[in-house]
Amino acid sequence: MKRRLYMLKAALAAFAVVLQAYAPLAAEAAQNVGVKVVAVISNEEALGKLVQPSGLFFDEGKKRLYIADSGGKRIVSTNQEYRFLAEFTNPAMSLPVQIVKAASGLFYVVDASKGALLAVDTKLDIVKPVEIKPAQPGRDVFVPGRIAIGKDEKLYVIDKLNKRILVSDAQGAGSRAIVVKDEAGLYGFNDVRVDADNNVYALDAVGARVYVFDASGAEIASFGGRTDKTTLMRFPVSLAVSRTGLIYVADRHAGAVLVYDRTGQLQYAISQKGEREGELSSPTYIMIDEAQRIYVIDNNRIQVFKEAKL
Amino acid sequence: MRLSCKVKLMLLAAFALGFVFLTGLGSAADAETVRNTKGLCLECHAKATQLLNKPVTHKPVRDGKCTACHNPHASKHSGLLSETGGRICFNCHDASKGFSSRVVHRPVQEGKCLACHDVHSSANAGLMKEAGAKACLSCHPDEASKTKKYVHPEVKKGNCLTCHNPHSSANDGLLVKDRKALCASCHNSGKALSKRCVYETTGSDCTGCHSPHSSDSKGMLKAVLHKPFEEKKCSGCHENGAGYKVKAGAGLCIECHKSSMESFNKINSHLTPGINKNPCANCHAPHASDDKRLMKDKGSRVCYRCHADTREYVAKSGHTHPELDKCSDCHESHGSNNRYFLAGGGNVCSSGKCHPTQGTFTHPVGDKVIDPRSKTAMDCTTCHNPMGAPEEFHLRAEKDTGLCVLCHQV
Repeated sequence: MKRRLYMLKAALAAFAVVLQAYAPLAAEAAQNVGVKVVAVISNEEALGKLVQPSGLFFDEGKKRLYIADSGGKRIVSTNQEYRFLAEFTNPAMSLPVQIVKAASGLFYVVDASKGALLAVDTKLDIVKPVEIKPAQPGRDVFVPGRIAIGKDEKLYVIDKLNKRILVSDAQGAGSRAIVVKDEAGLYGFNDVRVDADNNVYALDAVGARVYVFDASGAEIASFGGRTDKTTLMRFPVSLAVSRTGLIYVADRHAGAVLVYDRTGQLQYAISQKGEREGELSSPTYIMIDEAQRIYVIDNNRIQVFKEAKL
Repeated sequence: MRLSCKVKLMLLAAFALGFVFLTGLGSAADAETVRNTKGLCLECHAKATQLLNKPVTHKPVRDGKCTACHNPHASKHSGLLSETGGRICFNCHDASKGFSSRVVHRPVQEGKCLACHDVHSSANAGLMKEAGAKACLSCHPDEASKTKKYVHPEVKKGNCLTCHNPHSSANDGLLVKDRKALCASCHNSGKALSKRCVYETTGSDCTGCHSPHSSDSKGMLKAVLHKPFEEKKCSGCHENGAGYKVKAGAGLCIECHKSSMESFNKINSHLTPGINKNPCANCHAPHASDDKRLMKDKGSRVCYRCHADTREYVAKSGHTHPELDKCSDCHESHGSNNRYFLAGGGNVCSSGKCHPTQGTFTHPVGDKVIDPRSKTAMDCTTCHNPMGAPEEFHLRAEKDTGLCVLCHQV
């Protein structure tokens, strides 16, 4: 018995040597393991043509998907089978690029044509600007980037030019700022997400770096960097967080979703560069709903993936 | 003879370790065991003796180690070379020493060592094909600019290497030192210089205002000056009484360039902070430039400061669009409602004067032509990737059948 155990240990040690030497290859080889495409949302008669969709939000209560169809100048809703339900347009909303929905039913939309955050009441057909009032004024003008909404109904808005994330209530009041410890290597925030515990995840696309902040806004982790080739990030543009705490990064140039733990250890990659169903040509936005379906905007289509293990 | 399980497993572990080490060290070992075969090779290749007549000879040639680079029996590469491109050179020349700093000269990056060097022998030091500046000017003809009124003395003398490292450098422009320090190493900075310049210049980047190679302006100032700078209205941008401290942010520029802000308000916007305190200064020079838009650098160099991965991709690609360094010919610099910041969408190629007949006699494209793979509209970029592709005409796949069957499955 002892001898068999010894043999097993020796065999495992031999394999460990080989695996360690080829760890990056092993990570690449893990592509598409147990991942299937649940749906592809693109041109169809009821939905019409999606033109540069830029933002997504899934309403867990109503089980509806909302799409900021930027080029179409509209917000589109589908059911959880992704069948078209309705669309909303308003002359005061020209280029919706980001969307979240509050428990009140109000939508918060970033309109790129004005560089402004809007509150949208689709039932009453009212669109009003929301003025974010930061406690500390920024050194530069406020231009909203991507947005997220926490379980506490707080809005998390990227203040692009001031390299910070503003956290405010729905009226834009009581705003506090989340900043990085060392701004030297920060090119700016391009995406933000909030998990169930109100931890905040942010991405610097040009800096190829992911930052994690706790609920108080303190930086608790970061990984990546322009010279760090171990993450395999080439041009990361969007991020999302799974229920298990894994960080999913959509990489536009790699045509893949790279999955990391909080220490920055690459776990595996989803998809590969291409045009076919399940492949990604140029992913720009990623979102994960509570059922752990992974939504990826890829040019004028939205692909929905599901991992077998989740 | 039967081996015990224990011995078998030890052998397995040894094999695993050996595999890992030998795959990494094999090539180095090969280089060490090359023999002098000069006499043998010259029996047939008599002309090769001419290679030894030039003043500078490559050491393996001199030592008769032809097999350091050539395989005497068979090879899949022309000239019976054991490898192609820079790989063969880096068997002996350590790639980590001087070739892999942050900024790598494009021929080095592409493994095209022979673009500058002769491989066997040369009349010039360093086995250079051409002596001095001639080697550089064959690819960088504009840098001479000797037709301009004022030429930097080192440029006039053809001493490019006074300021540039030809292989790689930690500094932009392959400069041998940081820009600020480089100029100061010859031009003493300090009070005397400040008086001549009327501005406080200590510690500043001289190339922000001066052209380092040549200029038609006295003092080698760049051709286009920012109006407040030309009019010496420094306090328009700089804090009064605070030395040269600049007022922060894009808000400063928008005060004068109000309409520019509108060009950023698009689905895809380049209004990002970057590493400068003023986002506009990521791309634009606040004082002077040789570009009428006051761009900070030439062509794609400005873009590649952030888009480093694109630079690498382009460098590695077999077929790229001509004049690819003119990014703004196809892309909007500030913002665009089209993907990839394209000025005219995916059909930008046919929208201008470049390819006016495209789409009229070839494969149809447009909103009504749907790519069966992605279920989205086809455009020029469905088949072509101007940024770089494996096939000629920057096609994404081989043109006779490979490209067609991507969509037209048999």
